[in-house]
Amino acid sequence: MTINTIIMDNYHYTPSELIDLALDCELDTSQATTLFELLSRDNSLQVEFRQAVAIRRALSNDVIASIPSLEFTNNLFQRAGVELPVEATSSITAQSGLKWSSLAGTAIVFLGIGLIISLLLNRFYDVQTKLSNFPVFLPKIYTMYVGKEKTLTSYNNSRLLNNTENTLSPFHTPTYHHIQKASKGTTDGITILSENNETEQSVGPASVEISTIVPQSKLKTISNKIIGVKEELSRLLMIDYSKISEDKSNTSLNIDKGISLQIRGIFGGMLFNNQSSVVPSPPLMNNLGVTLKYDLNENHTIGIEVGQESFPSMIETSDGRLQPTSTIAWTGIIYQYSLPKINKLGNLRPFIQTVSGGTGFGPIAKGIIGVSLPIKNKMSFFTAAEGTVMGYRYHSNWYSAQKISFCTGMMLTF
Amino acid sequence: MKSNNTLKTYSDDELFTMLGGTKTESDCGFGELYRRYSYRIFGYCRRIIGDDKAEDVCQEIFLSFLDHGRKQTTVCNVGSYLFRIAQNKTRRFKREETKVALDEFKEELYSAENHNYEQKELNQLVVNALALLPEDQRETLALQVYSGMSYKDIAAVRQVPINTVKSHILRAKKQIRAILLPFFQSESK
Repeated sequence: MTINTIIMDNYHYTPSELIDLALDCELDTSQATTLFELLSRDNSLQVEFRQAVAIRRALSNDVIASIPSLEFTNNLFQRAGVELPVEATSSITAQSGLKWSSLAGTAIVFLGIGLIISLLLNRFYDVQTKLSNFPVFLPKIYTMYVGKEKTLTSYNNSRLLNNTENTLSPFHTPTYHHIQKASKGTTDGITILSENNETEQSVGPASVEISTIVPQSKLKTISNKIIGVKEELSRLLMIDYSKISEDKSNTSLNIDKGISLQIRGIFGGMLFNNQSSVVPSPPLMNNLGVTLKYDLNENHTIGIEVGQESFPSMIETSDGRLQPTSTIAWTGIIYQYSLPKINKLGNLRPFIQTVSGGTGFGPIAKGIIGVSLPIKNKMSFFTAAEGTVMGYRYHSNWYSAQKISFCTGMMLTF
Repeated sequence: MKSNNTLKTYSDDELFTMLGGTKTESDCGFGELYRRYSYRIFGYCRRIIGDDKAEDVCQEIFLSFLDHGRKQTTVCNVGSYLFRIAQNKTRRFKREETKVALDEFKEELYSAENHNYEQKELNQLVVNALALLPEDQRETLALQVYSGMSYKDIAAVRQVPINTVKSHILRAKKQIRAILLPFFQSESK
């Protein structure tokens, strides 16, 4: 049964008119209830309802597409003699995007933040290393001058230990000049002499002095002292080398270098450019990024990335109209800098990553700062904060839309 | 200068009052009011007088509004007042405007019948259909769509009874639906 008119407030309304009134929020609850009862019974009315909604959506889209250009705004404010407050135009720019210059600004800010965090973490790691692994800095290479010829010979520690005694002879009074190549605090128990018989350093309990001219009678005593030095040195070296070995195991990055596949999900985006009222439903497989990485070394990684994520924006089509879009697919190259593992934080490994690439609408840049947790040598999980800036054209000018989100994912190394 | 967040908390009335204050206050108040209403006023102008002249008239509207604000004209509802200025300015402008090219639109309407129904086509056709409406209906519907005001507020702006507003809007939508019927039929096929 088709209902022709309904009497409300002493007026006769057709069901179609009731639909329009309902969409304009001009019906009270009881009137709306009446309308929806009619809708539930009448298929043709349902069709009309869908049409009315479509028309209303079209009109709403036109409202959103009616944003004056920045040029128009500037002209108006100039004519009015009003200083254009940047902040006061935020909603205009939020809907049409920020100026292109902000793209560079944002990238610089992200890079700066990443750099500062990297430096802080590096410093933190250095302090940790020094506190727990002090003897690591024992030198491996000693340089020894033997005799008056000043033959310069480099010895490693074991060779030094083996040859110290052999260099002593009645004819060639030895003069030792230990040059420590790269260390500090490692002279405990070692006496270092110069060629003119002046003690340069004499530190620790096993100090010994060796004269330039040594009588035969004292040679044995000296030899014994040298042997004492050797033992002391040996003791020190033994300890230090064991620590070095231990420290190496602790401080090495302990990862498999090679090609990795990383998958991450992006969520919790805070959208500066949200136009949810006109954003269509996002497709499946949204908010995902897949990265193929290649480790240049323990710290530096490059790769390529593809992904798709929510980025509600108004895109200007070729015919000059604004078209809402809910997602942006991107592809780009990545560079990642990873810091060493932090032992005291459960082997977490901080990293920063930048992505530079393109979308169908313009360039895109991402900055990612996070930590990864190696599960096994070939697998790790990570979580990070992610900032994205996308540039696009509108009214023949470049603008950018921005987004901050979090991401988490896993990486497999082959 | 007040921050944007602070300005956002101000009511329209407070911002309008700021227009009569110091230059800084006036600039801030105008900037925030412009942010709130510019796209609505601009959209209204586009639909009433067309895209080509909308910018010029829109500028005149805001300049007039600022002038009234500086003189501290008594205003009950800032949004309604702004749209009343818009209505007067566009009416004045329309006295000189030419008629909408109806034939051109009809051609577009029926040539698009062969296309798939898409929202963007509908957007354009609804806009064009709006231009075909009788003047009273178009103005009333444009006020409703672009200002987002209730029928009661629109009645205040247009200074007509609320039932007149209701009648104009319902007739306008009925006519738009009738104009777009070929599209909806082709979509349902």
